Amino acid sequence: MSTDRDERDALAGLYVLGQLTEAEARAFEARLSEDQAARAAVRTIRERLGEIDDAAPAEPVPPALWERIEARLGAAPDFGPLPGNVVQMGKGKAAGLLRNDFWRGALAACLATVITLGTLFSLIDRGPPQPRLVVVLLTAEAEPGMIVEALGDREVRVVPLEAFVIPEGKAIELWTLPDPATGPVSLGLLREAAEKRLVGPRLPPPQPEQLYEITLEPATGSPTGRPTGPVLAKGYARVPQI
Amino acid sequence: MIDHAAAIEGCARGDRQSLKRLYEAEAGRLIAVALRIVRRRDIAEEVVQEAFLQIWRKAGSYDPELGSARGWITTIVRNRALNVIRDGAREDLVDAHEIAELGERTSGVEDAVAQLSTNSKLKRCLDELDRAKRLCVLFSYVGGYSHGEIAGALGVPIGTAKAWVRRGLLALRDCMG
Repeated sequence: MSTDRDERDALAGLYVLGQLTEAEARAFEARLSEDQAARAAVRTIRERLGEIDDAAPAEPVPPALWERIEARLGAAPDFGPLPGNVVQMGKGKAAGLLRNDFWRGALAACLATVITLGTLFSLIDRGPPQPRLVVVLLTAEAEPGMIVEALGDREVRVVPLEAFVIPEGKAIELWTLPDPATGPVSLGLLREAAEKRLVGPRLPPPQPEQLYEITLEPATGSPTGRPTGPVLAKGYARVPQI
Repeated sequence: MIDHAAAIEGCARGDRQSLKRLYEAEAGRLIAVALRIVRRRDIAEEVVQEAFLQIWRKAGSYDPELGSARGWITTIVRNRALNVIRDGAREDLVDAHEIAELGERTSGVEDAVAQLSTNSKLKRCLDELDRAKRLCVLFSYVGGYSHGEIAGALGVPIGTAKAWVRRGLLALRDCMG
């Protein structure tokens, strides 16, 4: 017969094994914050099964791995969870839209630096127009993925900060949310990860705190006129202090 | 053996040398742990790379009451590896899981147990489980298999695989005392 203790220990075990669904795992984590016995059960199972990991014979470590880690230590600190569902990117080369470790490392500078950089690009690049607003779109890993500068009511300039590899037949689509009633509006498509100016539809002037995001869509753009693909990065508009 | 808890404390203070000490002591073992789950060396290395960045950023949130420092680090690697195989990377990796014959997969996870010391209580308790339940627990923990993949590997319905995993966990608990 199944007891409460069995239920708790089985759940704790499945949680450690990674066998709970996302929703079940979140619910169990909520329970963990207030159920000391459940916390103890998780700790016990982790420690017991962890013996298997502790005994694993070391694999060779490639010499460049530490350099790649060290290059990113100054990267963005943990901003906490991003709003909404930003997909994890660049996990594994198989999944990866992000391929170039060098650029990931070199460009994952802190948020403030990036804003300065974005502003600087505008100053040295083509002179005016100055951006009215600057948005740093953060990836799921809280790293800067793209800068968007709102140059006017319709025109934006985008500068990717990650070497997004766009699969055949796909494009990155930039969206903004002028207000919840209007819903997300497409500002245009990027078929390669390169600086580009986009002219979107006529919209009210962009406001500070306005949401911008990029999603992966078919090469011709979202078939529905709304984001359908995974969110690659998102961020809120800020006023540059030029 | 380094003092893991002290090294994590160092990371929380922003001391890079502490992270490097952890890395030098653990990177090879952690690649092995990730490799058992993701089965591709390049991906395992990337998992470990991202895990060390996470350790660096989250060191301040490590709570010794929730387990050992070494276990905390391993859990970060395990979770990242599981995330990789549970999301987009799945297509490529599922193939790797599927093309391996059951015999090969079985020996892979049994090898992990063989590494345990001969007087390990965990080893004795795993050996005492019947083979199906032992494989269920090991496929899950060592290989990161989902219930569905375990069912596929053992040629049983998914409900059976779920029940075996659960019973295996509880039998293991009872044996470990």
